[in-house]
Amino acid sequence: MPRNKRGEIRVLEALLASAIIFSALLAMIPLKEYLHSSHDSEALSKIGFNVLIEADNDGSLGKLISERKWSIIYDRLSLLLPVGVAYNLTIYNEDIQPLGNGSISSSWGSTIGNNVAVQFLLADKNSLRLYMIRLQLAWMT
Amino acid sequence: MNMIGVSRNRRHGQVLILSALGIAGIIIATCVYTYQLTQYSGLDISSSPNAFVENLKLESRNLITGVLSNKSNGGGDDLISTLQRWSSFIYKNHNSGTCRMTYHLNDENPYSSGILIDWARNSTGVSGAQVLLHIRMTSEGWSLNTSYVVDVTTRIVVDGIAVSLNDTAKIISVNADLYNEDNHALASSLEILYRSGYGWVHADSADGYSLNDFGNGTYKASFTVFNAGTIDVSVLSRDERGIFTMANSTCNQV
Repeated sequence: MPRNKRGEIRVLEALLASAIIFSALLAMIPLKEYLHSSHDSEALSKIGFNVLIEADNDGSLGKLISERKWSIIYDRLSLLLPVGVAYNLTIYNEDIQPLGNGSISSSWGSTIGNNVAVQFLLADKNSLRLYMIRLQLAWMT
Repeated sequence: MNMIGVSRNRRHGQVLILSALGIAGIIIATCVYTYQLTQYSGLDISSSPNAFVENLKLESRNLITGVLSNKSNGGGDDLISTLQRWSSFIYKNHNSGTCRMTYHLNDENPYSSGILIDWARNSTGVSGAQVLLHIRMTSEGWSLNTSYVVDVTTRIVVDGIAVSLNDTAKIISVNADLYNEDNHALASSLEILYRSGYGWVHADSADGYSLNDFGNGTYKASFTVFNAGTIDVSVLSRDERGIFTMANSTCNQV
């Protein structure tokens, strides 16, 4: 086989090999995105859970819910959550009926990507009422 | 010779392509393995077993504290029905597998159905609740069993001293220490009474009454009484959790 022909074939082979490896790497990009967003979701979930634990560490969140003090709950959550995190809080009574006007939220309309929902069961030590809290979190634009 | 050269070229090309395929396969396999690992690691923390157990521990404690507070203030709520309601609520609203919480109330003396209220000891008053909780969670591929004790105790220790000023007047000093479990705790309310044969009288109506709050769960009151024999003092307190307790003490005559 003439030398130039051999050379051309070698180049083609090398290009083909590179294309195969490059295609494999390209095909992994969606997976990488998924893993990255999973990591974000994990971080948001941890934040939400820790905030609820902190908010009710002394039993005061339960009391605020029983007394329907939504503005204080809003202020407290806004203080505890980091900047850049939007939230939507829905509280259900023992019969899983939503309380108040439906939900308490902050900047929920300006969120991007996935949101996570943290479910938290709560007992008010003053009235002994039970509540289920659903806290949705997402990163803001 | 040319045939050998052609054969070598072909083998060289095949080896290169096969090597590239092999590398691509390794890359894809590694990524798929990583993806599968994340599927089993419970990334959704909202349903993470450990997080849910922490949730239950905190709220179980809040609930038991609430029942004790209610009971110590004369209310009628009891631990059994409250914990039964809580356990049922948990079972119905756990959204990842099943979760059952069972409880065992301490019934050993001096507790009764998980509650201890003893204000008749000399110089010490105790209001307490003790419950052993067991949580069992199961889901696809895993299960979790954990037990822990919830102990909520408010204790007050009272000490009184009577110092004679003259034939008729005595200065009474009352020391009170409040504890939550074994730690000093602050009182949200404190009331001191004394008795010298005529029934209980509020100490803040006595001459020279003062109450010092040391800010660490220790309180000291002093006041003057006249024409009194043996003085008994009683301290009624409510801690910041709302749990009531009281203790009586006979003042030591100095």
